[in-house]
Amino acid sequence: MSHWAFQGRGLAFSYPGGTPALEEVDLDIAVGERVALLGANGSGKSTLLKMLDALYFATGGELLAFGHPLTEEAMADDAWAFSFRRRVGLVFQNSDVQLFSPTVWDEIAFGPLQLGLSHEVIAERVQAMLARLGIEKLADRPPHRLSGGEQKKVALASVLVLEPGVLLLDEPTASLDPRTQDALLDILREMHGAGGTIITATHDLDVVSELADRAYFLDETHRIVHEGPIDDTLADDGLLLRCNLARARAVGVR
Amino acid sequence: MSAQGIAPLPPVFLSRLEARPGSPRRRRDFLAKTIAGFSQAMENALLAEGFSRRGGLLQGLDPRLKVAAGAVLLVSAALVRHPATLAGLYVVVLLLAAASHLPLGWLLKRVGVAVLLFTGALALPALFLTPGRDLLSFGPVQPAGFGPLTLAITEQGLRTAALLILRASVSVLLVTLLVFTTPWATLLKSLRVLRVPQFFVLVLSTTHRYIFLLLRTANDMFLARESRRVGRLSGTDNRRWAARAMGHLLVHSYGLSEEVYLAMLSRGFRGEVTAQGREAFQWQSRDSWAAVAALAFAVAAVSIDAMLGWR
Amino acid sequence: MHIPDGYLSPATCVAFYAASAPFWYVAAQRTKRFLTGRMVPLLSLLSAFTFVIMLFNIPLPGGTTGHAVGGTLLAVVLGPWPALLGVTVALVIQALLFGDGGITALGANSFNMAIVLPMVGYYTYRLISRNAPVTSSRHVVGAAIGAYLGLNAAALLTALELGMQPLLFHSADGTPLYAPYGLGVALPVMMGSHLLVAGVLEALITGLVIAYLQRAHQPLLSLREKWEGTHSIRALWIALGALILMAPLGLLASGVAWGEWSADELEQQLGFVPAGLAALSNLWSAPLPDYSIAGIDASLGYVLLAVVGVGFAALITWGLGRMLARP
Repeated sequence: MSHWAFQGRGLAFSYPGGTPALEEVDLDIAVGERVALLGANGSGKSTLLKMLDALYFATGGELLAFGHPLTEEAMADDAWAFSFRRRVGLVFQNSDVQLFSPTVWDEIAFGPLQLGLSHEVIAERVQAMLARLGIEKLADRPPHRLSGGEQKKVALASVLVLEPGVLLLDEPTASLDPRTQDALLDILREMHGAGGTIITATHDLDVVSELADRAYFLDETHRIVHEGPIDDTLADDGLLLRCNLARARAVGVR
Repeated sequence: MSAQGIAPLPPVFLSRLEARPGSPRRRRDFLAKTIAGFSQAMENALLAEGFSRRGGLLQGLDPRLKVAAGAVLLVSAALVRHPATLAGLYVVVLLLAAASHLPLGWLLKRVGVAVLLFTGALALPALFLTPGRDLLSFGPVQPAGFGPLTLAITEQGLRTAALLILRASVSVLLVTLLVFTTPWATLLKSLRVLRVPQFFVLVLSTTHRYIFLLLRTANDMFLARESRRVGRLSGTDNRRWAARAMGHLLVHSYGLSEEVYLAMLSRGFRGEVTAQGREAFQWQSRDSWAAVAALAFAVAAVSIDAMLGWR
Repeated sequence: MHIPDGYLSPATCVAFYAASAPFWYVAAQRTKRFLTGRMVPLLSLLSAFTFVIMLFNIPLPGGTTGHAVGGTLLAVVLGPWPALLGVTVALVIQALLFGDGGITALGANSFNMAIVLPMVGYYTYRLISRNAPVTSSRHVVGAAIGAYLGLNAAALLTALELGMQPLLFHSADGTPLYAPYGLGVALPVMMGSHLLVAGVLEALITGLVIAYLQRAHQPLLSLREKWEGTHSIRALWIALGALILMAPLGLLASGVAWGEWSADELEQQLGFVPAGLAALSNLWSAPLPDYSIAGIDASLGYVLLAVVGVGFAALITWGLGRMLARP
């Protein structure tokens, strides 16, 4: 198995209309790392995350996942797609799009069902997942009767139930109350402790140092403009301003 | 296309405010009515959720049985020909509702409002228009431009009006009873016993789930419109606004569907619909008894009706 | 236009379930082919959309409000087959959760509103907007006229279905067992309100939404072609032919007791309006009294009328298309 979870060289992506969303992106993320993709809204970090999850495919450059090329043709191979989907999970920013099943139980069971696990195994796994996140009492609830924090927990459970080695998170802490944020961070720490890779796209600088050790910075030209250890980069006011991640007044620059 | 959040509609109409004199309430009616409609739809579904979790007679039965028995009873209600038989069915359905802890007053109001307002109004002229033996006549009256008219309630008219109202009521009650004593997700899964295809069941459940999201979005648009309303707008502007809101909602729905598709792919969806969820169904002996009772009852209703004579 | 349970006889219900089933099947197959895995989320969101916009109250001139059905709008944006499924699902949820439209009547409701409405709307639109650039006002006009004709076609079918009930299903003493009004009442009432009010509203709203999409979200307007490719207008003639065929089929299928009736009895049933109201009924049915042509058996009359009606509508649409196609 490759030491690298993802390796990208000169990655580019543009939407069908021709609007560029990413340009010349190079990145290397090792298995077991915690990495943040930092950038303002519209910098392309969500697009990059979807590319890492093989939902969008690069329109330029090359992307490897676990040493294999991650292309549309490669994903057409059921065996490879199966193993990739098991190993990589994405928690969407908008929980409403991720929770499409009629009940919480069905939602968590969706992934395992697609991967063809037996009903007994699925029932066990779902139960274990509900218990682990402390949401057993939500099992029969429909998603529209959940609070924002509960929705996020269920979304996380629906991804973690596949026991992915790599977890991709899109703005995971957005609009969560502090207690739910703490609960979420605990789960992620636990997963990292067990050797998991965590890649978080965010512009929330308050929690990012607890989510990542290293960061890539994207600016409004949709390129990576900086890469480095999280603590150093967060002290670099010029960089934060340039990437539109901090307000001029807050960092004392006029 | 982003599905995250929804951009407010540009307040173009603010520049076209018209302060027209006129009846003060009329113009806001379409906003108020729509908002009321949204909350009623929402409330209805939430009520169904709540009632379906109460412990009662029907809540304790296997949903597949309820779907099948509901279908059989609906058909027998459609087959019978006598108001008396339908009245009997009506009473039995109400008894079942009571045994399932559904508040009867609320149920009658719901069905009463739905049926009496619509079917009742519709059936009223049939009292007079149906040819047959006169029971009660009014007139002659002479409306302007017409010859003298004698209005008479006929026996046939009375019977057909009673049939229509009772049949519509019993049918709506049966469906209400089924839907309000079974959690929606379970109900849909049990539609499989009626051979409804898997993919259709999946679409139904996903639709139901996103109705709430779109209702909320639409509700916000209407509330925002209501709160920004300073003067009165012309009907043309209002229609244009409604069309824009609709177009916007369509774009939003499409964007959401793309994101949902990606979210499904991400968790291993390969385009094939797999059997959903846990086996929530447990056939117990009481279900067998209930099945026998429902069938016997349907047969009894139809035979008694036949004994009353196929007139 | 949602027919509740209790208005249609079991035979009519079965006939319309049977008439709808092949359309549902073909729609599912075709939609699967265009959309592959996207089908479930797309159909679900669109059905939810249809459901929600049927709750939009839209102000009408004169202070009242009405609501649109949106079937033509969906068909114009996504093509007729996904629209067919989308409206059907919305109807199922309305029937189950809100008692709006019946379960036994679902086949008929779906035939009227989910099949005929978007098909008529869509092909009218295609005829008028053919080869027009995406920003052309022909798309707006075509969608509006399509919506008008689609809704009225659905209303006409609804009126026929309801109006046939007392004719076909009554007890020996003449008591109608289901919907009590004959064609003489059902047709003018349904068509009057839809030709003058509901159809106008549907046309206005559909046209305005398409105009909005042209200004604000053009990509959504080119979706359909991406999925379907440029598919031949020949399908229109096939669909029209099928519709003409369906009309008498529906009639025959529901007429279990056709043969038992003498022409006299039919006459008597058709002349449903009491003598005192005859003056009024003459106003409604000027050129073709009671929709039966003198000297021809009534059932044949309906078939003929269906053919003439559809042909007439097609001719007008074709002419309009030609007129508008000229720069």
